[in-house]
Amino acid sequence: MNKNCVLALAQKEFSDKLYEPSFFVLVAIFMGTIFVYLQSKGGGENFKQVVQVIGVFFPLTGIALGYDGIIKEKNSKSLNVLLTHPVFRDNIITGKFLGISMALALVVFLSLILIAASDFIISGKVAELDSLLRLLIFGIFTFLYLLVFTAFGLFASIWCKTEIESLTLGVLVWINICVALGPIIMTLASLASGQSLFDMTKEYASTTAAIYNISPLHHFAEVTIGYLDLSLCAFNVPTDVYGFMDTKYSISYLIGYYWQNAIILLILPFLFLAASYISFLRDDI
Amino acid sequence: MENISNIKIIAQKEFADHLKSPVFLSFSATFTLVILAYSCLKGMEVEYTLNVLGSPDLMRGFEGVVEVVGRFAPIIGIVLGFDAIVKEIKSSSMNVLLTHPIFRDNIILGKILGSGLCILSVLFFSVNLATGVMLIISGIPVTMQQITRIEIFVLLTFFYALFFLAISIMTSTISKKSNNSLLFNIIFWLIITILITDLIFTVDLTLSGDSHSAQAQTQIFKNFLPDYQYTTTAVGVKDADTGLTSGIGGIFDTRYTLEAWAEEFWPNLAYLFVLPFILLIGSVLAFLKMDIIY
Repeated sequence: MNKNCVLALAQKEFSDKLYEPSFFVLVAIFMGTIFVYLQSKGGGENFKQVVQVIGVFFPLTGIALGYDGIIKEKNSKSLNVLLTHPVFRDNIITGKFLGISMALALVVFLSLILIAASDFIISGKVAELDSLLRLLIFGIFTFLYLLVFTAFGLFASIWCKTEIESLTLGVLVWINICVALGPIIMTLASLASGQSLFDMTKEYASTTAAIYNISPLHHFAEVTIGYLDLSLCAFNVPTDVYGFMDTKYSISYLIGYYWQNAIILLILPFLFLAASYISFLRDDI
Repeated sequence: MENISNIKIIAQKEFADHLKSPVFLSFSATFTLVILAYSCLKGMEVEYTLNVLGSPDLMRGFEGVVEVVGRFAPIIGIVLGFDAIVKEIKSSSMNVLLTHPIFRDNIILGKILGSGLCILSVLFFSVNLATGVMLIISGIPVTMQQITRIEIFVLLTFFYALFFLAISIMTSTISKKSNNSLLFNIIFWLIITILITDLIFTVDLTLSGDSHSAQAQTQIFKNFLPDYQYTTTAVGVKDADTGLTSGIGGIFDTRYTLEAWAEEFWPNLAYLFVLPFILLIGSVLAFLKMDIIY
């Protein structure tokens, strides 16, 4: 019974999202960006740019998908009608979360498959199973990273009173986490260790790396290209391993190497989902 | 005369409303935080070049500040304008306002004036703070000439942000809901400042296969972008191949006088000053012809 409710809600949410004009805009922008940065120059630097644009600017797509999840229903009074049916509040949240996650997965994987396939066809490269698998892992991490922001958007949509408040909160969190946090951490590390960034000391590097752990962008950067941070003029130390796309190492070795970052990316969306549950169950509608 | 006093009252109200609005305050704080964080880093970089090379590379510091201000100043314009009209219509206060002896053009001009003043005060405060922090950390003594140039830079940034204010007031006149208007403006900002030139270059390169002609054609298109005109006046024209600045390196290049700067960049300046007003006239016209229903 419960499962059916959740699935029905997820279906409805997913199909609603597909009919929204803003969804098509998001797909077009996502595809456009991946196309631009994969085609333009070639070489490893190129891939870093794709990951940077995805890491810094694409959380906004996640927020745009999630910010009106509950508040829209509340303001149009359809939530009251929905709750008169035999469906529990936690079903609604789970259904919404599933529906929005499916829409996000569609955006990420559809663009990746189309762009990668066209790249293989145009260039005539032979796709090996190993490289396809790595591409899939990259897609999964991108999806999980964006899901963090979608789940936050959903949480904001329960917590805030109006749609505009929820969107504003989402955008503010995005700017602070993805743009401002990098340089703030570098300045903080400089204050904490008493060393300047340009002294290039080990102490400064280790302090910065320790503080970076609070940023989701850091974990995404680590698993994809092995960087510490991706924001503008970010601080990086050279390493031996360059994320899951580094073909020098086997996938099983890389899983062992990056398991902490992967777990954090996996847990964060569910943390926000749990917060959404608590806040929605106690909400006076 | 009465018209002017009407406009003044609405501008005052708009200005006071913005100063109390949590949305505006939180965005201004974030904007200031972002440019302050980057300025600190740039200050450290200038100090480092001073210690290692013996001569300060102050231009690099200013270029960093310009880059981050240029990327995020549009947000201030967007936040001030995105619900200017649609909010009043939704809350039905527009109908009440229009029952008073006041014309529609007074309302929108007052709103533009109030929001414009708000932009100017935020930019004046945060850009001075950012450049000030950058100069303090770098340890280089500030001259009067630099202060004048920083204030001119604030004005340039103001007109750049005004362009985005005009766009967002226009969308707030057209759109039915505030959140759609905000989302549209943010996507527009991302496309204009980050994606569009790369997209055109890539499409051109894929079609022609020649990077030089693609570069040249992208340059033709770039001339229409406010983003490009703004950075040109602030840090000069960069060569696409070498990445070096040819000629005057923008407003902060103290080797040249301000007259030489204005003479070199007058077409860019004219574009930057005129475009926002054309768009503002557009939004006034859109509002005058609009059917107010709710």
